[in-house]
Amino acid sequence: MSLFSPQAKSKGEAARGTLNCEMDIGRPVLLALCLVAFSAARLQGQASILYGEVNLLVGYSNQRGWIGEGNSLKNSVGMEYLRRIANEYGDFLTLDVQARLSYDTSDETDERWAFELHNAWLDYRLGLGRIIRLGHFDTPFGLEPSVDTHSLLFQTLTMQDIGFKQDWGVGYRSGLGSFDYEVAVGIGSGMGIARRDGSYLLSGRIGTPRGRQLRYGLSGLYGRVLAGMPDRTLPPPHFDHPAMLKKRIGADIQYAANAFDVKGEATLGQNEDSNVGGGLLQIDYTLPTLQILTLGAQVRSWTDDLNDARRRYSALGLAASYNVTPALAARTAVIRDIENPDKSETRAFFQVYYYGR
Amino acid sequence: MLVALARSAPAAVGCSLDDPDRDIRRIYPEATGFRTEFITIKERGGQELAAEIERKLGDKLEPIYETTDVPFAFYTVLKGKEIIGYVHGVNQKGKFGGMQLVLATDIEGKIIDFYYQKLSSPEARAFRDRAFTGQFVGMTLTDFYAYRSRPDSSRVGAIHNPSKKNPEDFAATLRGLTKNLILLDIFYLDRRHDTVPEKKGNDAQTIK
Repeated sequence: MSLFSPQAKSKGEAARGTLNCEMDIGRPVLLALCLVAFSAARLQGQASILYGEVNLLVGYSNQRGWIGEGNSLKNSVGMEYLRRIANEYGDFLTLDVQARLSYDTSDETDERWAFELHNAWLDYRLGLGRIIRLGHFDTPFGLEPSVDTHSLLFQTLTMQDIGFKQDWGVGYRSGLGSFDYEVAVGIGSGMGIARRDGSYLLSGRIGTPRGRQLRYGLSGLYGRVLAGMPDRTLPPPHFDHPAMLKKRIGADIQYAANAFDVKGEATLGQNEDSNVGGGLLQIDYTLPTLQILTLGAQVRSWTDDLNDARRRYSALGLAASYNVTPALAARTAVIRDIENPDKSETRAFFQVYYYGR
Repeated sequence: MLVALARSAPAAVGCSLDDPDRDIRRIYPEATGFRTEFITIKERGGQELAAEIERKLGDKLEPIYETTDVPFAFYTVLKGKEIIGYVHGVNQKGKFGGMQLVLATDIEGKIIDFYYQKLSSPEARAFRDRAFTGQFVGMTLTDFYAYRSRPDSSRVGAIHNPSKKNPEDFAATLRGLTKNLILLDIFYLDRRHDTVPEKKGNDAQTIK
C-alpha cells in the first residue's frame, strides 16, 4: 500500500461481487438522475453553465517504472454541468453533474476504460441557508469537502479515512450561529452505486463558514464502508472485501495569509478493532511577482494500527502549478515516502489540466 | 458547485460567492431567497461591450484573466417575489495575489455592503476592517466616475488608503469595485449611471 495511492490494486485478481446481501441500485439511480436532468432542462427560470475537462497525467515511480494513475487521478476527459432552477421566489433546485471517461494506462486488464460519476447531486432549498442534498456528493468529513481535490496532485486524508471521497446518499446543511454544519447518510459504497453487506455511512462536520481567512472544523463519521477497487461507476467496481466498520473523529484547519495558504487536518478512530489515525500539513505559496505560479509542499502520515509502528506510512511531496491560461494549468509533483512498511517509493507526476467552456 | 469548481480548476470561472445563503441572510435580514444568473460579456455584447467597459473603467481588461467568456455570477436578492437588491463579486489582481471583491447593493445600485471574499496581502486585516470597507456604503457608480474626473473632491477620493506599504492593493480595490459596479449597471440597471457631472462645472457628461 502506498500512502498516496491508498487503494492498492489487485486488478484482475479481484473476486467479483462475491458478497451476500447485495442490492444493486445503480440503474434506478442513474435513471432517476436522467429524468431529473431532463425535467430540469424543460423548466423555466434557470441558469446553467457547462464546462469541459481534460486531464492528462504521466507518472514515474522508481519502483514500478511508468505509472498512469496517481493520487486518485487518471487520464480522462469529462464535463461538469451546473443548473440552477428558480421560480418567482428564487432558486429552489440546483443540479450538478460531473462525469469523466477515464483511461488507466497502468491497468493490465481489459478494464482500462471507466466511466466515473463524481458530482451527481440535486440541492433542494428549503429556505435561505437550509438545503437538502440528494445523490453522489462529498462526504462531510475533514478537509476534503472544502478543498475539492478532484483534479489535484496533492490529496487530503479522505482516501485513508473513508476509502472514497464521495458517496451516494442524502445530506442536509444549514447554519448554527456563527458556524455551518452538514450531515449525511450514505450507502457506504463510494462511486459504485451498490449497497452490499449492510454497508452505510453516517457523517457530519461543523465549522466556520467558507470565505474566512481562518477556517476550521470538527467532523465525525461512523459506518460500515465498502472498498471498491477501482473507485468508478461503470464497469461496477469489485467489492471483494466485506464492509468494514469505521469510526472517526477529525479536525481540520485552513489559513490564508499573504501569499501563503496553509491547510491541515488530523483524524483518529478505528477500523474494526484497530486504532488508526493520521495527520497532514500542506503549505502553498503563490509568487506575488508571478501570480500564475504556485509552489506547494505537503507532509502526511497515516497509520493503520497505532500500536504497530511497522504499519505507519509517511510521505513528503513538493509540487508546482503553472496556470498557462485561466482554463489551462500545467502541474508537477514529486512525492517521496519517508516511512513505508512495504517498499519506499519516489514518484514524479506531470499533469496538464484543462477546465473551461 | 461553481465554488467547488473554482477551487480545483484554474481561474476559468468568475467570482461566485462561497456561501451565498449565509452572506445574503447577513446583509439582507429580510431576504427570503435569491435568484442566480450566469452572465458573460461575450454573450451580452462581445468585443463591443468589452470596449464599452474598458472606456468606462478607464483601463484595459486584462487579456488573460478578464476575457469576455468568463461567466459572472449575479445574485438577485428577493423578499418574497420582490427584488430588494443585488450581490456580485469580481476577481481583481492584487499586488500579492488575487482579490475577490463582493458588493451588495439596493435596487438602485447603491452600495449596502462591501467585503473581500479573498485577499492576499500582508495588510489584509487593515483592508478587511469595517472602518475601511464601511466607507463605501451609500456610494454608487456615479461616485466612482466622479473620482476619475475629480479625484480630490469626490467621495471616493476622501477614502484613505488603509495600507502603509502597498498602495497598489488600494488602487486595485478601487479598480475592482468600479468594474463590479459597471457590470451591474450594464447587466441589471439599464445603464442608469451613464450620466455623471463633468470634470469642471456642473454640466452633465455622458460616459459611453
